[in-house]
Order: sequence, then structure tokens, then C-alpha cells
Amino acid sequence: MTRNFRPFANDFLVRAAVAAVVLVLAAIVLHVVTRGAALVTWEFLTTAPRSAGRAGGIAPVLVSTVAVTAVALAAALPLAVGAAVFLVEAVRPEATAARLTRGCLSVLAAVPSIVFGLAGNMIFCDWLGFGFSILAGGLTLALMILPIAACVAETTLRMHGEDRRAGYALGLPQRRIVWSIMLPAAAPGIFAGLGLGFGRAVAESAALIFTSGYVVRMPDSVFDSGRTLAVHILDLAMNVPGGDGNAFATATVLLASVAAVVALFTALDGKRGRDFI
Amino acid sequence: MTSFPSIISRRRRIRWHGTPNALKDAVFVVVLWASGVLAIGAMAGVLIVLAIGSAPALSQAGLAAFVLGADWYPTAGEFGLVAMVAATLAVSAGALLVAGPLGILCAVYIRYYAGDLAGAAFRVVLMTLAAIPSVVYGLWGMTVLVPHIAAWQPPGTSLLAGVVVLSIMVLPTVAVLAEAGLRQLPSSLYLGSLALGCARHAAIKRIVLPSAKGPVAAACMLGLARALGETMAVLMVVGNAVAMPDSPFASVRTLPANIALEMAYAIDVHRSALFVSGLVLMAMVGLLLAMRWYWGGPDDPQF
Amino acid sequence: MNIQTTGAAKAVPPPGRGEEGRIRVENVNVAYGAIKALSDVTLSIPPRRITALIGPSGCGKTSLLTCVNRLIDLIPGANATGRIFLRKTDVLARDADLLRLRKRVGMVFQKPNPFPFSIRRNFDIVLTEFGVRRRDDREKRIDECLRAVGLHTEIGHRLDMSACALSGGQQQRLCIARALATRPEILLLDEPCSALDPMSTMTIERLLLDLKDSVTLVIVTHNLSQARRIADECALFWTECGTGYLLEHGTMADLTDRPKNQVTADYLHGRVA
Repeated sequence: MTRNFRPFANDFLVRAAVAAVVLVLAAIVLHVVTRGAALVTWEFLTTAPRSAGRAGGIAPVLVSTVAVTAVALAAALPLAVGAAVFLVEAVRPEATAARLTRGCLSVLAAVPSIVFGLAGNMIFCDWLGFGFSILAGGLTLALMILPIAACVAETTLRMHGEDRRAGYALGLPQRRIVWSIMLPAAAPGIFAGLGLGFGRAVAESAALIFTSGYVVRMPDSVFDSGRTLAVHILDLAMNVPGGDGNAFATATVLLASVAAVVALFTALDGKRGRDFI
Repeated sequence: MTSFPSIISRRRRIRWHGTPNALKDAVFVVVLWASGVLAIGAMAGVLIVLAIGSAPALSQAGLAAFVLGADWYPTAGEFGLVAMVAATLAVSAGALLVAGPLGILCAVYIRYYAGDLAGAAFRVVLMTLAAIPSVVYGLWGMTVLVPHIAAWQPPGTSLLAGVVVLSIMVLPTVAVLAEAGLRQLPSSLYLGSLALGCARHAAIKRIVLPSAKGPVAAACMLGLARALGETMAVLMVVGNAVAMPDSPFASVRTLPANIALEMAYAIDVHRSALFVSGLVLMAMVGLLLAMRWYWGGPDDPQF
Repeated sequence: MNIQTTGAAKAVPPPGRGEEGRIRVENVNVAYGAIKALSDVTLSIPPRRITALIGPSGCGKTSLLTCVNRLIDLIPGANATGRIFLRKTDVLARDADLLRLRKRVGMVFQKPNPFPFSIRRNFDIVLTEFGVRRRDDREKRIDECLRAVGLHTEIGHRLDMSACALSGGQQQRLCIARALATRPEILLLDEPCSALDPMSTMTIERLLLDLKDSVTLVIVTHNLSQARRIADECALFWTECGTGYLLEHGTMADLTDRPKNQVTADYLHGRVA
């Protein structure tokens, strides 16, 4: 018996760790959903919050969230695709410019979101004069998701190296190869990268509290301040005694939308499952 | 098979309308390089803005006030960051102490224990953990974790709560990146040790993990970097009193939480002092990145 | 054999330069970084014939092939010196017009590589770039190319299906057809059949024999019997310490029956791996 104990203990350790992780995930999701799901009604989704969010719904919050993430994705897409095409087409992989760009992107990926908040506050709210607005928040998030989206776009483009070579062998000019061959061929992967970016953007609160602000009114334009779902949860939990219920309901909506969109974009990507990290 | 209509005899009659359009090509190249420069500029821009924002406080109070000052009363000109730096390090290091080993075990499970289906399923679990917004973790921490700790050691909002929440958040980062590191090892290494008669656990412990030391360490570094920068979940559970972390049940305030809490009303030097907090935070993350590059590892800016 | 005389043949070719479709390789060296892959190859590939490049792996056959259309430029660190003349242009010259060169010299790869779009789009991308703007002109050219590779009966009516849905052999023939869309004078084939089953291989071999009336074909192959079946000329490459060189060149019959080297004789009769 003693001889067999050690392998048993080691294997047990691995399986116990895995079981613990699964249990924790289940506990958190179940806790949030059981406390929130009952409150998520059509009315909750379509009415404005009342009494600082304790009662009423989250309609303006939903609208702001969609607006902020839309701005973020719209701004990040060209930037990320541009950077990826630059890395694949304009420079050799070992060139200084390529290494510098790649290095900058991976540093950018490691910048804490609160620092993006600081930078976005200064650049977009102050210098460009957008104030606390959906536009400022969205552009800040665009900077934040740029590195992930660019990285995914680059890997996908590189997966189509065969098509690239075929294009060159046919005597097509570079711009034609990029526009007509590489980008259409890599589109699913690029959109999957944007999906990952969306997951980040919609979950973000630290970079938004002082860029898009926390005004809870229905925004009229992108120059209005708007409160996103994550910021709404934060505010209800921290500043509104008795806001717990609606905080959980909002968290349920947030979880559901993240799950839906990430699943959608992963399905788009098809064959190659990507790490959502 | 039909024979091919003569290509060469017709070739001469063809005019190539699409002669290389020099202008279009030039514009394309300019756009390409502009996008590359833009990516570099985004990074540089963030750092420069951080530096510009910090300048007033640094020139007025001096770096010494931030490093040596004991207290944080920014409106009264006291800018001591030491307690918050210590708290940030304590929470993050505590989280890594839990999430590091656990994450490595999870990576080992996916790579060497689970079958295809179980491995894929567990990856979904990790992805889900990574996808959960940090405010949701914070909310869970506030309503479940903190009351439990409070029942044991009031007030509950504490370093310990921060460590627990953060370790759950950091775990998927460590696990997935460590798994990527293990995947880079030649499979002959593991299979070879099994062929030599090693038991699975011994092969993993004595052969696989030691040879994956670099990438696994890099995964931990990235996990730590992520922990350092995490704002909201920590802010919601640690109490946010500026104090040296002298006990796991003490209320503390981390650097990112400090920025998030005070930025809304900070003006002038106070605001600038918050940019200094950001700069210090960035420096800590930068140090970790440098260590990660030194150790090498899966080169994956997706983190 | 029907060799068509064209404009270039009227002018007397200057010494050292070939008529249309001829490839004159002069003192070509290829290096990848510090590693020399091909050493001092001089070789004249005749127009409108099938020339097989054979030899063991790593002897620089493919390197030579990619020099002819300068696709070697895509490989980081690769460097080719020497001169390769197509008619009067040196394709290895620094200022060579690569796009025009690659229109004149088509290439087919080991693995079929149709673009992951519809069959029509595979041609349209090429044709519109080369100035065939009218839709029915393009249709005509697509039909012509598909006819040339015998695909028109199989897929001529299904141009909107994805090219990736075709079988391996069909994909490879589609790639040949796509390469023909630029109306090249030379077609380079890098082991075009090595990923295909015997039936598809046979189809492609017949196709190449049909095509050689109008284009110069250079084919890299590891399959000696394939070389015997289709090649008019043959160049045997050999390798020494990782550097390839041209061992012997001549008509297929010369190399098989009257080899100048013992190694050639052994290799062609399967006595050397």
C-alpha cells in the first residue's frame, strides 16, 4: 500500500486542483445567476433605472454599452488589421521595425486597464476635448483591445501564407494580394479576434469610469457620457445601499452577453479554437 | 482532354491594361507603414501621456516625496506611495502563490491527464473564468466572500479577500499560458520518459516540469502582471484604507484602486499624483515583462 | 511537334540569350543566410519542351525553380547571384520588373493552393488585375483556361462553388489553369503530383504533354518514372555537403542510355537512393 501511495497522491493533487477550479466557476456563476436571473425581465431591459438604480431597469445602460463597444471595435478594427498586415507584408519577421512593433504591441497588451483609463482621460477627454463621453471611452477601449486583435489578425494572416505565395507567383501586386486575397481569406479569424476584443471591452470598467463616465441618462450621441453595464454593476455594488439585487440582475445580463458574443465569434473562427486569455 | 488553344500566338495581342500603378502602390506602402507606426505610437503615446501627467507632481513634490513619504494625503501635499505599493505587491504575490501552483496543475491536467474531450471541456472552463468581467468577481467577493471572512475576522474587507478573488482571476492566465509552454516541449520528452519506465507523475515532476521551467515561469510572470493591474475586483473587496498590509485581515488599498477611487474628483497636483501612481504601476508591470522576456516562454501577446 | 514561330524568333537572338520561352541559367548560386544551397549552375532550358529537374532531396532543384520567377525573394535571408535570361531580360537583375516576370513565368506548387474562394473568383482576381475588365471576356478566358486543363466538363458549370471543395487532383489542375490565366510563356512545376493519387497524376501528366506545345515546362520531380514518361530533357542535380550542383544535363535518352557519370547511371537506374 505505501508503495502505491505517492503516485496516487500526485494524481489526486492534479485532479483535486481541476475539481476545485470547476467548482469555483460553478459557484460564482450559479450565485450570480440565481440571484439575478429572476429579476431580468423584459421590463428590466427596457426601462430606465429609478432611485439610483435600486429599482427600474437598465435600458440606457444597455444602449451606452452597445455604443461604447461599437466605437471601440470600429476604431480597433482598422488599427489592428493595419498593424497585422504591416507585420506580415511590409517587413521581414526579423527586421528591427517588426521586432519593435511586436514588442510595443505586447507591452501594450500588458498595460493595466486603469492606466489606459488615465491615458484616455488625458488624451481624449482633455486634449481632444471630448469630455466624459462614449467616444472617449470607446477610443480608450480601442487602444486596449488593439494588441489582442492585432495578434489574432497576424496569426490568421500567417496561416494563409500559401495563398500569399500563390498570389505573388501569379504576378499580382502586393496591394491586390492583401485586399483581394489575404484579408478576405483571413476575415473569419480577424473577426474572431475582434470577438475576443469585445469580451474585453464589455467587461471593462476601470478604463471607463473616467473616460465614458457614469451618467445614467439615455445618451443622445457619442459625445454624451454613458454608463456601461460593468460600471453600472460597480456603482450599484459600491455606492448604492440596497442595489445588490439589480447589480446581480445586471451581472446576469453582462455574463449572458459576453457568453453569447464570445461563442458567436469563436464559432466564426471555426477550426482553430483560440484561447480567450 | 482537349488540346489547349495556342497561348503564345495570342499572347502578343494582349495589352496589359493593369500595368503596375505606381501611385496606388506607393499609397499602399505608405498606409502599411503608417499602421505600423500607429501601433508603435499607441504604446509610446500611453507612456508619454503618463509621463506628462506625472510631471507636475514630480517637479513640485519630487520623487522622494512619493518614495519616502509615509502617508497619502495628496491634498495636503503628502504623497507616500509605499503603503499602497506594498499592498499591491502583497495582494498580487498572495494571488500568485495560490494561482501559480494551481494553474500549473491545471496545465498538467490538460496536457497529460485529460482525454481530448475532458481537456477541451476544461479549457472552456478556464476560458469562461477568464471571460467573466472583473466587476462580477468583485460583486461575488463582496456578497459571498467578505461576509464569510467577516464572520470569522471582522470587518471582512481585507487583504485576504483580495487575494482569493485575484487568485481566481489570475488562474486561467497562468494555466493557459503554462499549458502553451508545455505544448512547446517535444512530445518525445514525455513519451521517452514513460518508455524508460517512469511513472506518469514522476515523468511530469522530474522531466517535464523542469524542462518547461522557462515558459512556466513566464506564465507566472504574466499572471502576476495581470494581478498587479487588476482594479475593480480588488477595489470592491479590500476595504481601501491606506495602510501597510500587516495582517491578512487588514484593510488595504492597492495602486490601481487608488487611481480609480480618487480620479473622479482629483485636480491639479492631486490628479498628477495619481498619474504618478499609474507610472509606478507601469514600472512594476514593465519589470515583470522584462523578466518574462528574460525567461522566454510562449510569445503570445494575447495575454 | 508544332513549334510556333513568333516575333522573338525573327530577330537573331544575341549570343547568350535565348528565343522566347528559353531559360538561360548562367552561373547561378543560391544561399540561405550563410548556407549555400546551390552552386554555380549553368544550364539552358529549351523552349516548349518539358524539362525535368531531378535529384535527391536538398540538392537545390526547387531553389533554382524559385529563382526563375524570383519567388525566392519571399524567403527571408535567401540570396541568389548569377544571371538567368528570359529572352533578353536578366530576371536576377536588381531592377527586374517582378510583376511582369511573374506574369510571364507561372508556377504550380507541390500542395494545391487555390485561393479559398469560389472557382470564378480564383480567376477573376488574376484577370481583372491584368486588364480583363469585361465580365464576358473574363468568362471566355476562364472557360479557355479550364478547357486547357480539362476541367470545363467537370466544373465548368459550377464556377461559384468553393475551390476548396474540389478534390486534390482537381485543385491542382485548377491551379495550373489559374497559372495559365496570365498566358505565361513558361510554367514552373514544383513536384505538382507528389500530393496526388495515381489517377490524378496521370491526368496531370497528360495535360502537361498537351501544354508543352505552347509553353515551356520545367518540372521538379522525385518520381523518376514520371520524368521518363513526360520529360524531353532532364537535368540531374546532386548534393555535396549540403550544397547542390548540376551534375548532368541532356535529353532524357542521353541521360538514361548514355550517361557521362557513373552517379547518373546509378541514380537513373535506381541503384542510388
